[in-house]
Amino acid sequence: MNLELMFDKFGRVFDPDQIIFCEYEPGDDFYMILNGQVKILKTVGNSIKTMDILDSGDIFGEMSLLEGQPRSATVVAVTEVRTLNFNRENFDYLMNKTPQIAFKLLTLFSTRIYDQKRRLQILMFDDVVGKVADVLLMLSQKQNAPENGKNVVIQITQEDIASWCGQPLFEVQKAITVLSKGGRIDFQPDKVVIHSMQDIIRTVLQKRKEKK
Amino acid sequence: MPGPIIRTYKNGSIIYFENEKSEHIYVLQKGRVALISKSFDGKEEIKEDAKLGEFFGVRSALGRFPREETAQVIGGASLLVFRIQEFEAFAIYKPNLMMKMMKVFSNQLRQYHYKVREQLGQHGDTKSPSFELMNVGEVYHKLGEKEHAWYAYQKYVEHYPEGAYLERAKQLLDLAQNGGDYPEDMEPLQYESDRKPKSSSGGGNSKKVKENYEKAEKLRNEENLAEAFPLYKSISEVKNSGDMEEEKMIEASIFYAGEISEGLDKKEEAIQFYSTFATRFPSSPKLKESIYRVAELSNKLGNKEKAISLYKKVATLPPEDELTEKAQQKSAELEG
Repeated sequence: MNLELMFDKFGRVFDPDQIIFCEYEPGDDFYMILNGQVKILKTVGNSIKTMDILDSGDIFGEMSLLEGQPRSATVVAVTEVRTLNFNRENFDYLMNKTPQIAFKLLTLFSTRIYDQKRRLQILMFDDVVGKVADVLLMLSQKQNAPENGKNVVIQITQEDIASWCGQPLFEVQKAITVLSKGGRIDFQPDKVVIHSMQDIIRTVLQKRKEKK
Repeated sequence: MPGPIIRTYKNGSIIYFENEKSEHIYVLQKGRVALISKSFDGKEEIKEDAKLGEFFGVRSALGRFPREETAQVIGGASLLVFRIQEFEAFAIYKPNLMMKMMKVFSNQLRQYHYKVREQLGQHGDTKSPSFELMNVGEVYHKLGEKEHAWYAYQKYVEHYPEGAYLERAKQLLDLAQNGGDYPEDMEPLQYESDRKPKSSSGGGNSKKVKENYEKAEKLRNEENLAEAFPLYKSISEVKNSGDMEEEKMIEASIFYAGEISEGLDKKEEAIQFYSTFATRFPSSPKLKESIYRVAELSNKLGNKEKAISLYKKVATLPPEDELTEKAQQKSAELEG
């Protein structure tokens, strides 16, 4: 695959600090970074939070391509960024000429499906303590924390946890207090320390059982 | 790179367990394999057979997450086993295979999104996308990031030319363009449904959709379809309302307009409505039905090829239900 050749046809360049797309903007295309860095931002209340930094080889915007949903985050170029930009119309071309990118998309979709499935599992939990414990479990698994891990650190705020749980902040704060008092976690302003992964796993399994 | 290997299994063997992590991907060559998973609420066991010649275990292997089902051999089976790299080397020369998987995956993703949104509907606080877009612009503006604010306002004006905040967006767009700060005396942005309806301009479009929809629904309940139809049709022509409630009404109106046309035997017109519906509301629970109806109508109009391809599409769409079976039968019948 010669990505540089593709660049003539599908290339787009962004200057440092230039916005590539904006949260809630309608869209139907996605980007693959050839060189440079972008940051993924989300509006939280009256501030803007950096969620992630992506660089060469990474793909972003793929959700709008197939879902036709508004963008779920803002993407801004950090450095000068060279990208390949594909939409529904040139998707077949992409599949045939650069199957490696298509394969990457396939992998990305697999991960996304699992993320959504976990999200749904959390939302469907009746018990808020169970929801919060499951959010922490999911995030620690995403950063590949071992099942017997100790003092695993997750960068997250209470607001983020509330949004994962689909619950009002005060409900989530109550559940965090329950988990902290039980000595299972330690909550700091922008991070959580899970003392023992096994304890969290046990809590989630137990809550799931209670539900049945 | 070594290719895939062939493995044979005895009756009752477990190929993998739910929750296990593995990087193997399988194709059933001979025999029978049951894939056993749990329903979403964990209450039911779902059992389905792996199909001959089709891949399974792909998603969890590629996404490197635990298996979502248990795969068990019934009566003996022979399987092709790929590692991820071998699968990649194989798949990249088969764009049709990748496309097929991508469609299946994107459908599954759509179903999950739909369910997540449904769940969030009870607690979620996302307002309409148009409101949120405007809000993003204003947050940037307040933080002094005028270029980004300008971008968001400009996108608002571009996508929502009849939006409730158009005047506000234009005013702030001008300001941001000229490097002006966010005005301190600006009235806070309020979600449109919180605002009192204006008597003259603004929100007129929105009011009309609601009014017409209520009228149309009443007429339809009275079985006065001839009068309901033009109302549904006019609602179906509203683009990008940006309001969730209105979008729901537009969604329903397009479908009903299709149904009424179909009832009046206006096949081409009905196809138009159902096709618009499927393109515009791909996450709708009625997506599958709308495509099925286009297939039926195309078949009646003698467009056999289109009908076959649409029946086949319906057959791949989740969930597996009566329509799946009907669509499979019809495409098989037509292919003779």
